[in-house]
Amino acid sequence: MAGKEKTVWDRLLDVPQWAVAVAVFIFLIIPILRPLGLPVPVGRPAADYITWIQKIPPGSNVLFFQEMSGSGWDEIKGGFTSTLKYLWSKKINVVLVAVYADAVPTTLWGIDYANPSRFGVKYGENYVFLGYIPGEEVMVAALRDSISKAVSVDYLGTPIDKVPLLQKVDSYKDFSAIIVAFSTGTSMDKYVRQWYATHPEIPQLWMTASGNEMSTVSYWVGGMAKGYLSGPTGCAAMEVFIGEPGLAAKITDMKNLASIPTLVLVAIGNIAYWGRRLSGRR
Amino acid sequence: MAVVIRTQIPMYIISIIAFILLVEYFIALEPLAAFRKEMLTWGVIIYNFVTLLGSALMLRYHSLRIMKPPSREPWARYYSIVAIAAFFVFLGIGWGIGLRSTEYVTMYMQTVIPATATLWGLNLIFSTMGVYRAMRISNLEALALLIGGLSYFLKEMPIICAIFPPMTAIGDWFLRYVMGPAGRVAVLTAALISVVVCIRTIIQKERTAVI
Repeated sequence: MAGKEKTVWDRLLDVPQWAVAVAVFIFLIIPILRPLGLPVPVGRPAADYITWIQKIPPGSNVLFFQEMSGSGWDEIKGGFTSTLKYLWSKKINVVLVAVYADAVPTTLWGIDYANPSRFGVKYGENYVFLGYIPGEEVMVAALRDSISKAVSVDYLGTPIDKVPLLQKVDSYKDFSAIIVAFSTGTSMDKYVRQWYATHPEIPQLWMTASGNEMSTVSYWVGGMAKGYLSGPTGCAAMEVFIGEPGLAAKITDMKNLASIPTLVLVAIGNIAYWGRRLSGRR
Repeated sequence: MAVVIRTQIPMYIISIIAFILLVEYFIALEPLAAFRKEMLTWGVIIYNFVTLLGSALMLRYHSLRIMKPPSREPWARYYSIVAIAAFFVFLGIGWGIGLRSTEYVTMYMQTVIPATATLWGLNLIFSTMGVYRAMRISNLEALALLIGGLSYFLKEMPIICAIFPPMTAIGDWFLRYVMGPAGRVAVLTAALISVVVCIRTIIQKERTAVI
């Protein structure tokens, strides 16, 4: 085989990695330099999320578990902030919890970005952030049974008996829904085990990175999650629903164009593979 | 005697507590419910100590790498210096100024988030190369993989859905009736394996919990 000339099929089957990297980089840069504003499709899971969030009665209470940080945060921050904006616009009280330590800065950033003062909601009365509570599934179960027994202060260090909202909510009986922004493909299991298994009447709405959708979809089909936002596309649907496309909508533009080199390479790979095969060379 | 303390006693503790918690899940008795709540509290306390232990071990590991870097990678000590320096900077600002301070949140959002996003973003290049090499229709299974993969991939591209609106419904169909059942099989398998491991731990056949 040494010295045999490469055919065009051989060259197409051996595209160098640096060329792929350059192509991906160029396609990623375009929407950053010039936003495209492409329309956002709404899939069934996102549509169900929006339907169910509208069923939460105004003035009721919601428990929001936030796990996301790192790169996953970029995927769901649009959904997190738009969900908060919607809940506050309907005067739905929100108790936020960071499930992991590094979810605290992202939660604080997201609350700040959503700008609660714009909706006339006040900390302590309409929303409260309990900060990071260690324990993961142990903590999720503990909050279901009694918040006052699980924590003694909120993230500001205020004793919870001095927080007006926490005088009204303490356990699963006081919440109309739980919302979860979970981080990995198995994180949702604990909410199914500790909340759905014991109290299936409390609807769960989820949001997560698009890579976790494969494991999330079976719970949605089974009714354990009433709806979910998957990645920037799902979160952009929520942003469009509240009429404020922003964080997620920008990322969907990048996702659009960054996927084009992948599609092109799949096509090239298959054409070259079959071209070489049909031309008799193996 | 040391081996007994290190392995046997923890195994007995795990077995007894796990068995009681398992019984409590199925039988509603007040003493059992109170026991479960107490265990949940202790679980949180132990979790905190484990986090502290992890930090201490990380510092120890990187300190040793600074003092004695691997012979094949003498430059590894500089990475460890950066790791320890970052640890103390975050610790100092978090403890000194406060975890909820603007400085801490800004520092976190401007360093950790972009760093992890860049790390995962680089995966895009490698995953593109992987897809290019793997998704070739060489047999029926590869064709099925390509169809399933493309249906989800194209559904996630708003531009495709804008040009061809039924793509959203097609992708949702594949997600719901093809990938959903496949995901369910994976979840069920993992759940069954977890049940087996838990029962083996309770009957003390599974020592990985303490070793």
